[in-house]
This record gives sequence, structure tokens and C-alpha cells, in this order.
Amino acid sequence: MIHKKIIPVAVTAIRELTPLIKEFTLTAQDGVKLPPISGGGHTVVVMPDADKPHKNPYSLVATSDDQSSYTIAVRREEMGRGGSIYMHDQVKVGSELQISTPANLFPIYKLAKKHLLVAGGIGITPFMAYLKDLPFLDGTLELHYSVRSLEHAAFLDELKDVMNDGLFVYAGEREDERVNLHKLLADQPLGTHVYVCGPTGMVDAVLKAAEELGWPSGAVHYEVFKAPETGNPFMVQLRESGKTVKVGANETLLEALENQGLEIDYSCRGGACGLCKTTVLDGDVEHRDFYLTDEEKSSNKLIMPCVSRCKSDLLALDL
Amino acid sequence: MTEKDAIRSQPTYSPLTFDAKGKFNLLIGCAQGIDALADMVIGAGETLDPSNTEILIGAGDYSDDANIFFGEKAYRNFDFLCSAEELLNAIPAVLDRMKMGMRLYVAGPEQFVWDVVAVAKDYGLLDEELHIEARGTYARRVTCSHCKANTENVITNIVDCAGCGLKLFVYDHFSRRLRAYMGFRVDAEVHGEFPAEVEVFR
Repeated sequence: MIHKKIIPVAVTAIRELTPLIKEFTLTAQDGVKLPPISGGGHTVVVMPDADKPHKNPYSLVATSDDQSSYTIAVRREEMGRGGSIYMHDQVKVGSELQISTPANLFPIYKLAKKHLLVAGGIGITPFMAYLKDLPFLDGTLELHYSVRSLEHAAFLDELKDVMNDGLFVYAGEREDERVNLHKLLADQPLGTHVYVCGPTGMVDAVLKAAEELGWPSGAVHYEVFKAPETGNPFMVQLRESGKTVKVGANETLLEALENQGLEIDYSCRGGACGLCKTTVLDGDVEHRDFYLTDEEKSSNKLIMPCVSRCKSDLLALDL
Repeated sequence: MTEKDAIRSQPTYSPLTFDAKGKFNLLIGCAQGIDALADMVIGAGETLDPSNTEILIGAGDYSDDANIFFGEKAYRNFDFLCSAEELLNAIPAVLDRMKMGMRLYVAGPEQFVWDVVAVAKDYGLLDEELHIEARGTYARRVTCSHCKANTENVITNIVDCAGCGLKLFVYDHFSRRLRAYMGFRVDAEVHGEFPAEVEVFR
């Protein structure tokens, strides 16, 4: 079942937040009301006019009061596959894009007694929407925000405006200026939930500290979108439809399948949500997702085509 | 009762097992539940570090076995209180100073166990952090589905509601939110027709 709807939007404002991060306001066409969002939700932005049709997931920063627009923040990734560069260099006010209906893989656990938010760099974006959903009660909300330097700290003024005591910014290079995650997690009252969004190293450090300190896994929340990485090209045999498709080095398996006109359900395009799970009939899968269990991965019977690839020259799928 | 007939909401219990992933342990035992804690401590052996463990027990003499395991080790804290009520009242102060990474072990009469679970849930504890075993009386707290009043320490299949006085059939449906079993009018079909009252919950 494909439960995704594509909504046409126009860019109505662009704001430069830092030298590397731009905020885009995406307004629905024809006065359509957009679905309400919840803190941690994301949408996939489709860039139809690009030389290749990028589909990148971005956290929703905010929605306008009249539900006519969303804002997203995009970091320019020089080493990426081109979607963010296109957003930065080609998209102007008036440009037309498409977005998917929002989904949320990183929701707030509303029964928590305290919310401990840990952000690194562009990982601040989902938390901007969190802050609108969480009550500002002293001692129940903290945001620990790490950046390379203050110049690279997006939304800093907004954060200072809306947060009282709970904002901690780490902008230094020295070890003692950086957030000590182990120390932070070692001293939290019962009922605390930690949420982390940032570079993989930071997410891993939070997961490691939480495990070492005996945190229950249900109190640890993380956003694990990962931009698909390039890899060796390989051929895919679609046994059901009898087609053979080439997956280029700079292309994902999901994109190659979509280019053949196959409609595959997706949401995060980052190996996290599980919607694009596909059955493997033959070939040696190189798993790069966060969704399949270790057992499923070693069985070599399933693949997440949004990020994963094939180690052998040929992959056969039940499509 | 066969597996198929069982009411799914009715709690089932297994002996407490120690979860070594926790960094701090809080053991709460009431009456016969103290023996259940002692059994767990014996089973845990060296994996349970007394210096990271606090014990709060009471409402009953504990056995010689329990005495050996609770009395002689250097626990970080050890309190013995006189009644289930005193135990329940003492818990919030302990939970207030506990940190994430704690595991809570609760053993005792079923009604006591769920009273402690309610306090733990108020503190936001997840099921992963909570280990329970009912040991001792299975006397029930019964919520009247007609007047909503609770009748405490029910050991018979039929009981007079402490609120509205109706004779209630004590059903096996258990509400975790109310910490009580459900009771409903036993003569609802034919008024005045009562089956024999027998002791069933010990």
C-alpha cells in the first residue's frame, strides 16, 4: 500500500540562518491546508526540476498558524549527493517543489517526567518543533546544543527567546568545552527521556552512555536518518517483472527502481522507517540501514533499498 | 482454568530475576515478599553490588534466610518499617533521590505490589525498569462497576460493596489504572438469587 500523498508547494521565503544553513518556507498551492505536524516529524522534499529528481527527508521546523506552510532548514552538504546543493543554489523564492505528507519517526514521549534534548549542528531542526509541543516547566526540559562555533548555531536567538534556564550551548573546540554526554546522562532524575539528533558519532555516544549507565532502551530516542552514501554500481534483476536495472555509483537502489516506474512505498529514505523493505532472492546484500534486526540482515532475505546496496555484481529482487 | 479461559488482564507473575543492566537497585518487599527478594539476591550472587543497592522492607518478620542476605551485607541503605502503609509512604522520598539507571524490584501481597507500581509509574518508570512478584495474600481490591467504590482485602468470590452495599461478583478482570479487580452485581440477572459465598483468594 502506498499511503503517501505528494503535495505541490511553492517556496515563499528563504532565510540564511548560518553560512551553511538556509531555512525555506514551503507554502501549499491553491490555499490548501497542510496536515498538522508533531514535534519530530519530517517530510520528503521532491525537487522535480533538478537534473536528477532528488528526494530528501527534512525535519519540519514549524508550521504556520493558518496551516498554509511548513518551514524546513537545510544544511549545505558539499560531500552529499547533490540535493542540498540544489536547495541552496537553485531554489529561489517562487520555485516550485513537492513534499510528501509528513510522518514522524522521532516523536516526543509525552509521559516523560523530564525531556533531555541533545542536538548537534543541523540536528537542532526537529527540536525546534519539539519546543512548540513541550510545556516550559522548570527542570522538566533541557536542550544541550553543540555547534562548531557560534557562527554555525542556527536558531540561537529563537532558542534564547523561548527557553528559560534549560538551554546549554557548546561552541568550543577544547575537550572541556564540549558536552560530556556520560556525565550528563549519569545525573538525571527518574522518568527522564533523552532525545538525540546530530552526527552519527554523537548519536552513538548517547546510545553508548545510556547503555553503560543502565538507562532503559525505551527512554532513549534518536533520529537516525542517514543520507544514502555512494557505492559500487551493480545490476538488479527484477524476477517478477522480468526487468534488469543498473544501479549507478551515485544512485540508490530505491531511485533506480523508481526510475523504472516501480512504485515502492517509502517515508524516510534514510534506512530508519522500514516502509521500503523488499524481499531479496539472490545476491550478497550490503546492509546500511538501522531498521532490520541483525538476524534479518544476516539472513540476506531482506533489503532496505533506500540506503542499502549489493556487494556482489547481481542482486535479484522479488519485484 | 485453562489458558484459553484466562482473562488477559489478570496479571501473572514469575519469580524475580536480577537485571544486571541496572546501575542502582531498589528492593521493596512487604511481608512474604521479603522472602521473594531474598531468593532473588541469592540467585544474583556476585552480580548484585550491595553498595549500589537500597532495601526497603517491612510488615512482617523475615525468615532466617532473608536475615542472612539482608542483615549482613553493606547495603547502601537498609530500612525496616512496620506496615505496608509505612512502606508505601516511605517510597517517594527514596525515588526522589534516585537517578536514571535504577531498577526497582517489588515483592509482596498482590495489592501491595500494584500500589507500589502506581507510585513508580507516577515517577515515570517504564516496565523495563520495574520487576514485580506477588507473594503472600492474593486478597483483592475490588472496584464496584456500579458505584466505583473500592472494597479492600476481599478473599471471597462474592462481597458486599463498601460503597453501595450491592452484593458483587468478584471478577478476574484487573485494571492496572485502578489497581483493582472488577466487581459487578451478582444477582443482576435474577434479583435476589445469590450463589454460595466461598473463600477463593488467599
